[in-house]
Amino acid sequence: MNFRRYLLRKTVYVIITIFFIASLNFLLFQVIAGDPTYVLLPRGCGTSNVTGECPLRAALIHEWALDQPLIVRFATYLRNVFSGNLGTSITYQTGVPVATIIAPRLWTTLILVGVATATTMWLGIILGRISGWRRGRPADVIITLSTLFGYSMPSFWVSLLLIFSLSVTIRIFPVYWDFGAYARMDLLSTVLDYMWHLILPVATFVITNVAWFSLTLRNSLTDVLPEDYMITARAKGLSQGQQLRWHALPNARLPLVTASALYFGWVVSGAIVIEIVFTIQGLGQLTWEATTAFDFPLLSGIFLIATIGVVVANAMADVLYMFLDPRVREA
Amino acid sequence: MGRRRFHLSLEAIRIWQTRLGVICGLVVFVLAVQPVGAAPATPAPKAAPVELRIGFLEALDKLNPFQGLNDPSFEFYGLVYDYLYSFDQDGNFVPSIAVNAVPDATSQNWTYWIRQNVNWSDGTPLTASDVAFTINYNAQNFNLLWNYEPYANRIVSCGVPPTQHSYVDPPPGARCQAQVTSPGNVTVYFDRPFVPGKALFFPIIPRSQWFGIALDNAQYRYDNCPTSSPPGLIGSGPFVADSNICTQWSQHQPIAVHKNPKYHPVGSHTGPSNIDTIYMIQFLDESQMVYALETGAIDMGKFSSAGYESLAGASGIARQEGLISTQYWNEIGISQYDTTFLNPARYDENVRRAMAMATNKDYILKTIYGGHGVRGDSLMTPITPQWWYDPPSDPGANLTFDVSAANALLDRAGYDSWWTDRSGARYRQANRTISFTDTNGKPRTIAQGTQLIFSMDVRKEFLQEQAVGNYLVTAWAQIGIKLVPTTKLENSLSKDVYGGKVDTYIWYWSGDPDPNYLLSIESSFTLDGWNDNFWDNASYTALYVKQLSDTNFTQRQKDVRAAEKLNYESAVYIIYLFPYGEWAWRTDRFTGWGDWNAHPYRQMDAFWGANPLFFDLTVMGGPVNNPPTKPILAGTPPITAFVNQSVTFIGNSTDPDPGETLTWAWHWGEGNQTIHSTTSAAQGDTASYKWAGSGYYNVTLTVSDGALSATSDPFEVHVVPVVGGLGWVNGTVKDSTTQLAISGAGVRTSPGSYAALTDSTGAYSILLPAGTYAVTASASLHESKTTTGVTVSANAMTAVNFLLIPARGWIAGTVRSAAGNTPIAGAAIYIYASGGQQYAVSANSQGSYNKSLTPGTYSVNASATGYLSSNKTGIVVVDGQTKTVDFSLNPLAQPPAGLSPLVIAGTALGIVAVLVAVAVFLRMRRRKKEEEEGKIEVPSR
Repeated sequence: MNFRRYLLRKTVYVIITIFFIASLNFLLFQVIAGDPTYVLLPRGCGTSNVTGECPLRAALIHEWALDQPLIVRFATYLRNVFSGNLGTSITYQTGVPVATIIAPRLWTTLILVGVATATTMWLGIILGRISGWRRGRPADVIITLSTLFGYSMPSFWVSLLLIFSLSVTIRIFPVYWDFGAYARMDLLSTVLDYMWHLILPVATFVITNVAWFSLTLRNSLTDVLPEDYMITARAKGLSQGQQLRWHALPNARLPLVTASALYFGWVVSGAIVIEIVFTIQGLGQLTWEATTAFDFPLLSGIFLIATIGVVVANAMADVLYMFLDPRVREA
Repeated sequence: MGRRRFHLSLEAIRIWQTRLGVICGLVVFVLAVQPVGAAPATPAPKAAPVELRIGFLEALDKLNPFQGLNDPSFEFYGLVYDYLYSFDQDGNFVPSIAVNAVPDATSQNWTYWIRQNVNWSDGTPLTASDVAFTINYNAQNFNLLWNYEPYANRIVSCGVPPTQHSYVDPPPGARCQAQVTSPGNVTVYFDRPFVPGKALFFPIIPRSQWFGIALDNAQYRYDNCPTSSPPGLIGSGPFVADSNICTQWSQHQPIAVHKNPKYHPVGSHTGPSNIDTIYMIQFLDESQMVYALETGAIDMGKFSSAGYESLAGASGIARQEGLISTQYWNEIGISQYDTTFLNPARYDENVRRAMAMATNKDYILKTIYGGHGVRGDSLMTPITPQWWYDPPSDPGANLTFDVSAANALLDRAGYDSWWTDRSGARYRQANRTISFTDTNGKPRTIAQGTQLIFSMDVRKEFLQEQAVGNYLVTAWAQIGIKLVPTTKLENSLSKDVYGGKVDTYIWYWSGDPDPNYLLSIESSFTLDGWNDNFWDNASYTALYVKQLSDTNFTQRQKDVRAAEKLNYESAVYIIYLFPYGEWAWRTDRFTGWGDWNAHPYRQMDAFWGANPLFFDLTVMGGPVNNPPTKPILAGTPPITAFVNQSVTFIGNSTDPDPGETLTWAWHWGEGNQTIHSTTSAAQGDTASYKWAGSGYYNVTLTVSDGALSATSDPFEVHVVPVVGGLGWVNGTVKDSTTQLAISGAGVRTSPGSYAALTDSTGAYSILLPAGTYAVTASASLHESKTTTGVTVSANAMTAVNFLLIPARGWIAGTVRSAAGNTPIAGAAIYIYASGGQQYAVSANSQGSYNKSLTPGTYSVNASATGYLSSNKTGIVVVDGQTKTVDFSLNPLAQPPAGLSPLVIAGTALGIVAVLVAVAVFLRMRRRKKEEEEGKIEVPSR
């Protein structure tokens, strides 16, 4: 298959998917019960039945174009979304553009999730390789049991255990993350401090998620190792390391790529708990705060960003498949 | 098989090498960044700016003082804004932006004397115009801006049309709203006598910033950021918002406020705070806040009961719980919102009263809140006992817990038939059509068959309130009422309650110590604002208005309690608890926390500006500034003086800190003052004054060391017109034992209270009308003596000399360190007499002190830099005897520290070295094996 055509086709698919996501995102917030004006005017004017309606509410309805037909609002919404305008916050930070609120949080979460995912994948591959190669042996049992044990523990619990043991009892790591301190630090100190604070949250991610990758690879290797080409590889005198690197892993890693793409969606939601416990000002915590503040435009913006992230990650996985799997290239 | 094993071990070695490399890298990374990364969790070094970090579980929701709802928001406003008056630690009003507030003869119009030479944080002067603007901005239109309505709803309106969204000044000279009546005065016009004129807690805002912001914009949208248009957060409070506060707030970073170095005096605090920067930090997870306090990452925090309990016994942490100065209470609200959407039985007072009688508040307190509070009933809490209505002490109260009585009440009211739900439980319904006039004065009809089933919203954020909701399901089922609670986030609950979407709810209220605010929220005036259960009772509102006009305290107390009783008995609020505030703070960084139960207005929650706590906290290790003692004016008040007669006063006060400059400010009770400066070595000051007009004047003396001050009790002087036929009483006052002159002794006549003080030679001279008098001489450390039958003739001098018998004992002792028993030179010793007098001395180089005192009972406090202070009470001083009071002060604990960086670095380096050695060994072994494996063995011929 022509790679450019494949890439183009994938891009079109992504754009169409994003369009549907954006549409769904718009419609979802239209059908949710509740009037956003009442969110901004929770008390006093316009809510009491004593003095009747208040002009403020009518003014807000007009300003937010809630008095326009649905189709007009939808068109406006799409135009704004595709021009990068996600609207303005109505309660969380009234009047501030949603994109402005999300941007710094998004970076924080991307760094956290990026580092955590990379670390988890790397460790998962190592453990999965050992486990798969030594299936049924004590090493396999230990790795499987320990990673499953971590996977079955709630991330808030693991976070608290890590904080208690490594921040409170043995005071090696900081207890909470003071993002405001970076305004008073130079660049090097900022980077080092940032990495230092990342260790415990990333460790939580690794402990609770490494099984996702190690077990996927282990099972995949289990399927691959009895294959004829592995016997051939052994028969032609390749060392076990060579068998593993050249023949077993290339075939076993395909499900891992799929798992990684799906995993991205999980980590965004999983980040909420870790961000709350470690006081990390990320997208997860923002989601929680926007929900509690009933800030519909902000929530809509967050959901849009998060879903687009998952779609793009899956599209990238598909493209990666082309390189990893000749069958896809030839299909 | 053997070969396979061999290859497996090689692979294992390679994998292990990879892992070891990673571990080594991680350890090296840890070592590299540890000193930097650990810094934020470690208390600042002493030389660094003094930073106080406060933990909160709630967010600072808005920077705009018209929009905030949560307590941290109001605490923030109290730091960056000023108010007309603030409170001292005991809840007494102290002048802040207003140096005085005077009602006119009708008590209807209040004039505020605005403090001069105060600047906004942007450097521009704060004027009376700003104060008038603040009040008018709040009073113009309660439909558009209502956040501080309870303070403004009795202010006379200037008739600005309701359609006017932008601010307009009242017409000049009109007797409405607030007017600048002289360059430094603002007069506020109320529509009736208004007693709580000092309790107008509007944050004072700059006219230049807010004038162009429409009222509704201020209420709902304007964010008050420094970056907004116009730039915001310009205040005059004891702290100034950080220039990045908008980013800090929007990204939920710690909110920073910095010391206002030019802050004006408030109460006994005459200088700026000792704290350079306060950080307000929100924790979404309480466990982390507990850990942060334990590790010293924060200095204090307000906790839930669970967090508070978990800190019991924690090293270096003090805890305190008690009633909250903000009058916090929890209630079950029963909506009177006029809608057919909800169950009409909620209008029926009998139903509500039955609910109240079926609610065991003592059980809730004991079981659900673990005793952390006081059973609640009324709108004002026991934190202000003068306003608190306590039903158990009222024989007329009849809503005590009694399930049988509640059932009987519902039977009588017509709810004596039953229906059965799907689970088989039986509940009441109306057996007939029930008609009545509700407590809002509206006719209501409950249709036959109306079931007693009610919805309830409970806050998701508060587990104990959810437990109360669950308890009520069971408790009210016993009287045939079905309750369906739903847990909701507070925002959602607010929407339901104010939108009339729920029958009942569990929520809270808090307010200032004056009854105006908390009583107003149930009055008809706030139906468009804060009134959440939409109770609109004419009798209650009449009482609310009346108490505002009660100039007689006893009458006001009676009316306030009557209003509370009415509210209690109507059961539209079933107030069930006055929960304790539960705070904890580190004891190893700051001193000066004080007792938050004995002095509740120094709690961190006390947000009415210039909280004494933030002035008294002093970082440990730094020099401790001791306050001057409360000045004592020589002589016995009241005294009588003639118009234009010079009267001399002597005031005594001691500041144990050497080398300080003391300012002695004499206030003569008519607006004039005399100011002298001395070093702290001087323990007294003398000043004279002539009053030009007759009248009663209160003389006070304030002594300040530049940061802390103390003010004497008022000394009343009755100034009378000069009359004819005056004579003199002259003489001397000496010590009967030593025959030495006594300086500063007071000599006073009776009748008439004509008086004078002795000079350094012990001589005195009193000018007084001719007549016969008793003359009394008194001096400290001596017994008073009276000479009777002294006849004074016109234009003649009568000599009366006194020999006073000494009466003194001594308190003496040493102050030593508990660690090493070494003397503590310069330790400050404060001695408090049971009569309120204070004396201070400092320990000499041997740690010894000695103070002569009049016989009596005293308490003694010793403190020193770097040590915990110590207090000893009930010390009886007997004439002629020395009482020894020694102190052994405990050194302050050092702030908590983690493992020493040296230990961590050494351990880690050791681990790295071992790992590297193992890795090298394995690598070499692997290479050797590979070489052996790669050898081509040539078969022998």
